[in-house]
Amino acid sequence: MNTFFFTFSLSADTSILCIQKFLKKTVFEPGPLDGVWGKKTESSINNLLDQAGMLEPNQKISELDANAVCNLLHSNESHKLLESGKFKVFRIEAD
Amino acid sequence: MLTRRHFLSGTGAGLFLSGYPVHGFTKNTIEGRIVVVLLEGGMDGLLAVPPIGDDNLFKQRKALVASNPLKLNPLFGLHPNFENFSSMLLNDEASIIHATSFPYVGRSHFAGQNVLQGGMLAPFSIKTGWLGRAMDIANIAGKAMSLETPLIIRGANDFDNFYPARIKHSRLPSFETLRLIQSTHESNTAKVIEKLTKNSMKMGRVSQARDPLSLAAEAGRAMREKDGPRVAVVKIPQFDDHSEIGTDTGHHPELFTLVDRTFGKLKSELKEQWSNTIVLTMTEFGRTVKENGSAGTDHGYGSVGLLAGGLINRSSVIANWPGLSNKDLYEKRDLYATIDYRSVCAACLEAAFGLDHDVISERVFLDKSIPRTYGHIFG
Repeated sequence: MNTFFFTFSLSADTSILCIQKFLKKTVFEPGPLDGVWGKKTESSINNLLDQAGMLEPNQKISELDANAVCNLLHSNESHKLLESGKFKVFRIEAD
Repeated sequence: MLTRRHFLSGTGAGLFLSGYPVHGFTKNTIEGRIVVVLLEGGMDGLLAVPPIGDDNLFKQRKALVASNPLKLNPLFGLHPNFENFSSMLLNDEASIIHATSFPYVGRSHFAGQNVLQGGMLAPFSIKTGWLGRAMDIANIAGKAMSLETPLIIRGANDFDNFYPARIKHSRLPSFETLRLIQSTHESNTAKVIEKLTKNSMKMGRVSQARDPLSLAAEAGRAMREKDGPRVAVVKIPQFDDHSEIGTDTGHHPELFTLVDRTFGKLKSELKEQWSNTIVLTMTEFGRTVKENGSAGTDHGYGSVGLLAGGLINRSSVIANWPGLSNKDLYEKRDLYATIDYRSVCAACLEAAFGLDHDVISERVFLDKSIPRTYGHIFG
């Protein structure tokens, strides 16, 4: 008997909305909860992940990473992200 | 009876040292040092750390923006008088908290200072100070008491031991008050009061210097010692600039220079102990966003906190920026405080004394809901 395994992946739109809803619980504003990957969603999720120490130095999250990021937001890292996301940390960029 | 006006004019710059390790008292001597720099009168945080990336800054207080702030990042600048402090920022040993305050909106100096030092949201509701309670919990012994010991470092057992018993309402008599009383009494009583004053000064290690820089140098030297005090409180008065506050130059900018040099002196005298130290400013409230018609600003709400010390690993400005348009202001006049400064004090206690956040929240501030900013400031 053949067994078929189906992988259900969340559609890109749902992942984006998932990210936006999570961002809403932090001080990193996602803009409207419209499931659309706009500039605000992109900069906010990057800032949050960077601040929480979850991005490599030159790494940048794009729309293609939405699924993976949504999974991260549901993992046991979510608490750490929510904690970090309570306050915004602006680095010193002068020299 | 000490009137409010006398209280305000009688308090000059001051230094209080406390927390001298007592051998045999506890196994582990705490190595962290805390210096609280009390800025009395209400520091104008928008003048000190202008949010130059916010267009409303220029719309709301055009005449009060320094012409050449140091640009820290796209949103925040720093008044150019903070020379030492800016070096520390560039060296990952300083940070700024903005749009912050204790959740106190009464705009009264008297009550505001009490809230800041007592650590309770209701003024005059407690006899001890948050630093004193923290020292009790951390088992830091050797509290030096003096007649002018500020509320902030009073702990549970430090009461009425050194005040002359005959002086009623003697919770906060100043030396000036005692001299006044002394001069109006019969000669015998006056002699007794003088002797008590002298003894307290010896035991309580109250400095005779009155300028903040000498006091800061004294604090740094004392705290560098292995058996030296772990806690210092430096008071810098006169921030209440209702008129002619100054912009590039002027009274408030001169105070910035004073604060800046205080930081510099502390670091240069603490030497290797700077790495175990955290310095934090506190002020009872910020000042109004708009200028008031006398080229000054009035009592407000949100302000800034300046932190420095080797316990900081990475410099930053921490702010949940509320904005400066009229609808963003508290009561249409003040910068909102979006970060509870008690959480900053708590983080400093955690870093210097190793106390647990929940313990600090419940037993120092008697409030379970204080958020933890330790990771943001010291991470």
